[in-house]
Amino acid sequence: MNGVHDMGGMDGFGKVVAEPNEPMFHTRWEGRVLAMVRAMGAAGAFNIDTSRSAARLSRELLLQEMDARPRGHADRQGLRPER
Amino acid sequence: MSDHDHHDHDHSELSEMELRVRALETVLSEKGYVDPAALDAIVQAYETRIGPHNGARVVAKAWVDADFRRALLDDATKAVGTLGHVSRVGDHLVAVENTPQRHNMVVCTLCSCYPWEMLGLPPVWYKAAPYRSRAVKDPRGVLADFGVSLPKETEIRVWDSTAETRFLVLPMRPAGTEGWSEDKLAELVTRDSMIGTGFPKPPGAPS
Repeated sequence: MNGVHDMGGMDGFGKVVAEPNEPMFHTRWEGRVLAMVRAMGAAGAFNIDTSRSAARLSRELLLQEMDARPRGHADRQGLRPER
Repeated sequence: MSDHDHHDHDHSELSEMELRVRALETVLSEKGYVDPAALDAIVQAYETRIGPHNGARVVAKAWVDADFRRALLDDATKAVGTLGHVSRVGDHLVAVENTPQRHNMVVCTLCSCYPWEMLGLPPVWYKAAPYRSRAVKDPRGVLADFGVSLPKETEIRVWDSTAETRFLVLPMRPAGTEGWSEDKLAELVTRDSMIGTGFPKPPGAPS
C-alpha cells in the first residue's frame, strides 16, 4: 500500500533542519494532548488501531499542512498520536 | 516554564488549538475520564523521567559489560527489561551495533515510530518530511545535514521502524574512555548517536 504517509524515497522535501535544544513540548497544549492520549489509552477508551485510524488525516489536509508549515516545524498538529 | 507558555497570561491571545485542547480537557475531566492532576504527572514524566538519559544508560552499560552487550544485541526488549524499563505493550526493541565497517541509522518513513522508553519523544525533525523521505534514499546526504560524515568504505544500514519494532543504535565507544564508569560514559551518549544521526561526545567535550 502506498500513500502520502509513505514518504520513504520521495524527493523534494529539502534539508533536514534540527532545532537546537528542542524542548519536549513547544507549547503547553502539546503536553496536555499527549497526556490525554496516554490517559485515555490507559483507561481503555481506544486501542492503537483506533488511534491509527484517527491519526490519518485526509490526504488533502496532510499535504496542505506540510506545505503550510515552516521547515522544521512540520507535524506539529499534535493531535496525531505517535504510533 | 518556558517562554512558549507566554500566551497563557493573555487569554485574548489563546490560539485556536489551545482553546480546543482546553475544551477537550474540560469535557474529559467533567465526564470523569481524566484527572487534570494525573495529566500534570504525565507531562512531568515526559519532561523529566522519560528521555534519552534512559537509552544512554543502556549504551554505557553495553560498553562496559560484555555479557549485557551480547544480551542487548540478542534481545534488546529482554535486556533493557532487566534494567527496569517496561516497554509499551507490543513494542519490540532491537539494538543495532555500529562498527568501523557499519553505521546504523533509524527512521520511521511512515510516521514517527521511535523507542520512547529509551529516547523520550521524537524530535520534530524525526517526524518531519525531509528526514522521513530522504533517510532511506540518501543517508549520507541526511548525515551531512547533521554535520556528520563517514568514511566512504563504511556501510550505512537504515532501519525503518514500525509500530511493533523500534530500533536503538548502539554507537561505538569513544576512544580515550578506558576505565571510565558507566555514569561517566553515559554522559557522552547523545540522543542523536542512538538514532544514528550523530556520534557520542568525545571525552573532554563540554557537556
